[in-house]
Amino acid sequence: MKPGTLHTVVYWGAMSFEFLASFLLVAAVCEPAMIHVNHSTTLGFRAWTQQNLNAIGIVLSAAIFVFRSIRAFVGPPWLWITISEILREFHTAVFSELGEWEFANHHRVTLYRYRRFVLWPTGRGRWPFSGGRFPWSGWLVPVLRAGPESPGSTVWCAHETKYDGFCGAVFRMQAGTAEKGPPGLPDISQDSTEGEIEEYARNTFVDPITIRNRIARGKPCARYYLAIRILVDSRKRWGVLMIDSREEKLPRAQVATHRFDQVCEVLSHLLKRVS
Amino acid sequence: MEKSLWKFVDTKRLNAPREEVVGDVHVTVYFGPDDMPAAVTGETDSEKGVIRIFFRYDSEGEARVRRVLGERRSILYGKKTKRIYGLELPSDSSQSRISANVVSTLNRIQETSREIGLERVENYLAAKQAYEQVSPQVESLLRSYYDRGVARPTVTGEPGGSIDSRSD
Repeated sequence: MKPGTLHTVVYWGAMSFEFLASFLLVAAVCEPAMIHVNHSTTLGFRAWTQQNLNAIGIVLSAAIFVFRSIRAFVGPPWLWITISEILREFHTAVFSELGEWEFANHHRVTLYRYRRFVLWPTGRGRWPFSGGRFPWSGWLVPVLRAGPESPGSTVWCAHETKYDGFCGAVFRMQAGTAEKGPPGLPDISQDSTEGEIEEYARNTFVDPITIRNRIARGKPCARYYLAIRILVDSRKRWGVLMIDSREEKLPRAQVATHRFDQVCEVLSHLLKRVS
Repeated sequence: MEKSLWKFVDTKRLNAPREEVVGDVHVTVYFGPDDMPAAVTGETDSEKGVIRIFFRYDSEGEARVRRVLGERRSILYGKKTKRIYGLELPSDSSQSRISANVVSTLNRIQETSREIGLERVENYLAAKQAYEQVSPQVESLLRSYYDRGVARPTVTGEPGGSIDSRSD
């Protein structure tokens, strides 16, 4: 999945406004006559800017800061296109041996981004702010996914102690990479017993209600997870890259583990540009 | 003083799967790529009567901080990442206790990391295992310095000295 039109419009819009605000700031401070208007208007404009120079400077500086922050938060479109290509290549390398239908629907590589504040964490199938979780608790939001067309919708809590989901646990644990597969993860389907659902939920750090909701909506439950925490500058936790699959283990495990670290290192360099 | 060549760590072997309990769930875990040292080396300093062990990483480039752990015993770590970059230990008269010294000091750092504000626990474990992997090569280098008279050991170091000093 590649970044959408909205992303591109927001990025280039913010860049244009930042440029415009910078130009106006320079014009106001250095030479108001840089703005091409007729002579009498120029004189009036010059007098007005000189009277309100401090206020203009503050407003334009704030506007530049805001637009620059938006640009840094959104990240350049080329970066997301590059990352989506890297994830697609990685996905193909790991799962290409499987059939096309399986390949598209049941084996995913997802990039989650950590955000301190999320107004409404989606995809949980229940009230998201239970158990002491709040919009400011810190959340992992899916931003790119290789496999299905959808980037994913489930937002996981990444609070220091109240994390949930396998990616939430990996984000908070000391070890940088974690793996989980059977026997801890039974095959979950419409016919699964309550005990199996509870065991699966416990082993994937989620509430059994979330699993029941997934079953009710016909969504598959993965039987294998491999997740790696992405650090930028070797220290700042940016997010998590996670493989989840309906297979009990990865079809090309050696290729996957060999490439997984490499992909993570490349991402940690690229994602420095997205604050 | 003479500096040795880097001894490269087999990171594939270093990063063997480990079982860990997270909450009450058993999970197979691995070191993160940023936690594993890529190479280890050592040097001797006859003037100060110390040996130094250094760790190198694939991604570096940060300011380093030296923290004194005891008499002629200190640690060099990354200012931002808190990763361990080096250890300074007293020279051992018998030379047979170099490894014991290094490993026990790394153990102490790992155990008391939270108390002393160094929270990169996985890195300290990875550094210890990386050192253990290449310790024969590093020790033989240090020994060759002794034999060539580059440095003369003067004081026997006690393995795992207390970590009670503040940073300098």
